[in-house]
Amino acid sequence: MENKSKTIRIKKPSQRLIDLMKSIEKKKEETRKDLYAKMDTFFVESSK
Amino acid sequence: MDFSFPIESKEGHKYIIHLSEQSLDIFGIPQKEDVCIYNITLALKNGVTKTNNVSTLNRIAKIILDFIDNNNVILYFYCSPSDDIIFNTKKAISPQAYRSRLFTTLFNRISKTGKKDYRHFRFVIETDEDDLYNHFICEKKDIHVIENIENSYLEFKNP
Repeated sequence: MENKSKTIRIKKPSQRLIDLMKSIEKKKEETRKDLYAKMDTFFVESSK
Repeated sequence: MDFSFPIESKEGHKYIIHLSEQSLDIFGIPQKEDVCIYNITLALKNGVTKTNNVSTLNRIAKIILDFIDNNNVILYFYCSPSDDIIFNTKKAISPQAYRSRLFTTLFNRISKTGKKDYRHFRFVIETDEDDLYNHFICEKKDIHVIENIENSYLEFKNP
């Protein structure tokens, strides 16, 4: 049976790659904060 | 275009599943593919909660599955280090590693019931601190996009 999942390990990544990951992480945290701030709006709308 | 899906668990925990379009160039590959990447963010109201139960995970999987089944997209998930989850594992693991396990479980559920033939790629970027985890779910036809991202990540390694 064909394996549908694959893990790719990157050992000793460059600082550039780590910086890219950290920028994605930062953007994600900003998105989460934004969602927390709007959370009640979503649930008021969805309960209508 | 972004999409947000609110759900409330049996225990009353409120979640938002947010899907936002992510440009390919952030991964170091040109925006010439006819497929979009959507970044998944999960936000939980009231901060910390215990491990997600199976019912909540199934509902999250169903929303994500409907989205990928009905759109020509690749899903991307970056495992956050945020410690707003409590989990019981035999071995001490980081929040990132725990989220990575959860996402893999989520893929296993999606791949069993999806309309299309999906593949899952898990990138583990080993650092001196905690490892960083990225996940992609794509259709089999789009594997080349993930291979391009893999090559790009490796080129980042050897500039």
